Amino acid sequence: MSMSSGWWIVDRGWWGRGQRGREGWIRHPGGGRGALRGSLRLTRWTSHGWLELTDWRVPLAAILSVFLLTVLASPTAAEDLPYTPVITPDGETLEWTIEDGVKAFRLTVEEIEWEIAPGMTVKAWGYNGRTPGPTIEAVEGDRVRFYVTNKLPESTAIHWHGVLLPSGMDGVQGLSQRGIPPGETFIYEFTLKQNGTQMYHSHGDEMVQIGMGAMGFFIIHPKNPAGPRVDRDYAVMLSEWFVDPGTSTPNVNVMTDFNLFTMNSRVFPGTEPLMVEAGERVRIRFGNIAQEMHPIHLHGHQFVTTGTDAGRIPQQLWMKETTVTVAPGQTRDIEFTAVPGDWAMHCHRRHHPMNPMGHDVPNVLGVDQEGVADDIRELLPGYMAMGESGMEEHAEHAEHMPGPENTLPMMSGVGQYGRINMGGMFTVVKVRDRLKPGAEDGWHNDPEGTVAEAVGVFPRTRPDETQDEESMEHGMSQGPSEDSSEKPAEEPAAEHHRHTMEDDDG
Amino acid sequence: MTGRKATNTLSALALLAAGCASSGVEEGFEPVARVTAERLGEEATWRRGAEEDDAVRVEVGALLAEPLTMDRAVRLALVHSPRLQAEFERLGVAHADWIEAGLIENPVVGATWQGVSGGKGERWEVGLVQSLMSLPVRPAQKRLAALELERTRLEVSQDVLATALAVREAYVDLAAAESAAAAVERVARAVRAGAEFARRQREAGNINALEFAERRALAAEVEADLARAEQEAVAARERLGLLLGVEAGDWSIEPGLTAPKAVAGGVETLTARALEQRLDLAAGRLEIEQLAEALDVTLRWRWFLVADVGVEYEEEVDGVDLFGPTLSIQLPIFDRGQARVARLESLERASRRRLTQAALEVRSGVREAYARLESQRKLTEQYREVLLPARREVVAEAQKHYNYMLLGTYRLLEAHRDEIEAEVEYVEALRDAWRAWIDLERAVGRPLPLAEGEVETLEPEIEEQEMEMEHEHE
Repeated sequence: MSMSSGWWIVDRGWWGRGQRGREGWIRHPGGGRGALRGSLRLTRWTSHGWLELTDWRVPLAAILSVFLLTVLASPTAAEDLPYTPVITPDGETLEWTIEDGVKAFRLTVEEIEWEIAPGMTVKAWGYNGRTPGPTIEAVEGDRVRFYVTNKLPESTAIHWHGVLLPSGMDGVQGLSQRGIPPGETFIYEFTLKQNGTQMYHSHGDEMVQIGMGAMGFFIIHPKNPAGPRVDRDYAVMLSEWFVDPGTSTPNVNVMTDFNLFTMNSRVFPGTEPLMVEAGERVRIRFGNIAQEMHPIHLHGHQFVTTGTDAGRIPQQLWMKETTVTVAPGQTRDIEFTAVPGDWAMHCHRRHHPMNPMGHDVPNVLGVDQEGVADDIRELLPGYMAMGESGMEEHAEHAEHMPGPENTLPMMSGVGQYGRINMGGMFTVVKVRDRLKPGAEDGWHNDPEGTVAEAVGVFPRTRPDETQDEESMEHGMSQGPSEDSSEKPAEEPAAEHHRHTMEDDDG
Repeated sequence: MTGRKATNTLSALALLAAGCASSGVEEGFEPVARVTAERLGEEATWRRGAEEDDAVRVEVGALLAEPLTMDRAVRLALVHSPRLQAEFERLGVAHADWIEAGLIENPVVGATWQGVSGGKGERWEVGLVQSLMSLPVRPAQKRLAALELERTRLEVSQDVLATALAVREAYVDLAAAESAAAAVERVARAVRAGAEFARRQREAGNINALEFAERRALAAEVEADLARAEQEAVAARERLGLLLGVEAGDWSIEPGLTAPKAVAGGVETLTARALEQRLDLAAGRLEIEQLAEALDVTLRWRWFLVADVGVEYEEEVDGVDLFGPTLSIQLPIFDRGQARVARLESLERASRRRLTQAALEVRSGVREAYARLESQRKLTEQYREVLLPARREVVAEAQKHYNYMLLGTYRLLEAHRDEIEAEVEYVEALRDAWRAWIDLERAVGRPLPLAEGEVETLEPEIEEQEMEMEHEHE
């Protein structure tokens, strides 16, 4: 108990090389990232990337050392985690140490430089160099201790949103505690008496501090988990910013006219995809400590909303849908079984999956600009007519025309079939049969006949002949076998699934 | 006296007179030409004959063939302007006056024949009278006439300078007006494009009648501005053409205005130079000298009473011959010259006061023009270094925002228009700086910055000239 704890995960999957930070999910007592070579295919897609397996062959010494370390290390080193650790896309999990039997975490809130997407960096106020701050994970029943160091220019406090704790630990500056003065460190300590997806955020001058990104997830895993086991657990924080194009400091005075909508403080095409293996049960936890409500829509699946920040929703009350509304102050857990494909997941408010655009520009949709555009170009050599036929042409132009510095084009991103032309609160859930290193940059291999194409490109097939083995497998496997555990008010087993063209009864 | 003696005297006088009249006019112009050449960098030419006219016509043709610069325009005016040529003839007049002042009054011969009524005899007399009234004062009068000639030279030179500066001013006005008209035309093009854009939007149903009307109104206002600017350019062209003496043909000036250079020397130096070198001040001083001299002569010679001397021959009816001298004397009973003296005294005092006033105006003029020039130059620098680059950057950045559809076409055109309007203001500031420069030149009476060394005036010339003349006649 005295040394830093770590834990092994042995699971199906690949080992790979950690990309950044230390999630701690594979750590020797000596620390560092592990590269285990073995015949075991040990993999994990983590928020830090892959731990790379380069070879099937395993040097004996490596196996031996692993064994020895496992045996010789302190009991805590071999301790299994009682939960699937949460992956925070574009984020990380907060490390802890054990002090006096208490899980101790360290948070420093300070001004940071944060990349919203490649090509745009802003000033933000984050925890431990990040916004959102690192995800806190603990188990119901843990006693937790937080050392909070304030390096902001003004005082702050951290409120543990949704957590049941003593009044003086609630973190409302002036009400629960005196504010943490700049430069000082305060301690919060309390015992966790609940489970669910909670959050933490600044509660001193919160209009500014939250507006600048001071928030994060606080996930409390149940002591006795119930319900179907979740294979992948993701956490996505929703927020909005206004950054005047050409500037690098968010304007926190803006209340309704935001221009950047972020998932874990990133926008598309800078959002990390959510990597999943087909057939896995996936949980995605959404949190919202911002100003706007966001209806998050997931393509290709029907999910159930299984949790709020007060814990798990009873199964009888699970409602199936494809869009979950997350309002400010709420968290929502959704669960579904993954089917192969590249699935968009985005806020369904039409402007939210867009990067900054002008809102009082002249309406030029359908306006014939021929001739007058040339006249204007004689006066202004860089002028090009835009918007007559919609925004797609503009998105192409924006690639090679200069914009204001530190500004993202309104829509961009390229997939395997061409320009995606999205931005903002948009990401992709990539479900693969097997996850290999580099999968996050790849695209789904669509079986023949399952891609919308021009007439005549693919031979027409009848639905009951198309099903290739794989899709059939996965199509059915996500079906009633899992959902049968869910009780009433369900549709029949023949699910609406992409690979199933029609119901069996025709 | 015998007839032969009289004839000889007359012929000698005639010869002298003839000799005086034909020489010296060209030399009289030379100081003018020299001073104006030195102060303007261009020589003035006084055309007094047809072949000179032809030569100048060729030169004028060559000058007009290319776009005029400021200096070439000045040269054109100096050689071609009919008004200046008329001015130069004043020198001819003054020169003639000077000659006339040196001329002795002609003797008068009188003859009378009378017949006795009834034819019983006749009487006749012949007399020769020479007025002596002007004799003692003649040298003084010649001096005065020479001073007058000198003063005329100064005034003519001053006129040439004034004309040259007026040409410069008109040139600068024209350059600015043409630049402004060209710039307003560019603004008009931008606004027209905006109005056309609005029309397309209206056709597609994307803007309402209110916005469309506003855009059209904006375009119409700019068209009015354009008309005014073009008209101003035409008027400025006429003004310059008039000064140059050319018709509104297809002559043109170099486009654009540069900034005038800095002035060497502070206000004090320039004021001192101005007081020394202003030609009109020199003329004023001469006038005082003239009047003082005239007063002096009048005072000295007012008691000279002898009017005429002469001889007379008379043959009486009874055949008696009479011959003898005549003498007439004016009696200063009523007119003792007190009026003349008083007048001259008054004129002389007035002349002094005028000189004081003129000096005051010169000093004030130098100060004011210098201050204005300094502040205008700073203003043009401000435009050039700060405002115009900022406006250009506004357009460049607006273009970037437009590329990302963060602002629209109208705002981009507005930024473009603001840039052009800043350019127009810059041109106007340049023109005002040039005007201040020209005013300062006018105030100082010399080109700026001032040259080092000897200050040149016309005064030494008078002594030499007069002595030369006297030598000839005496």
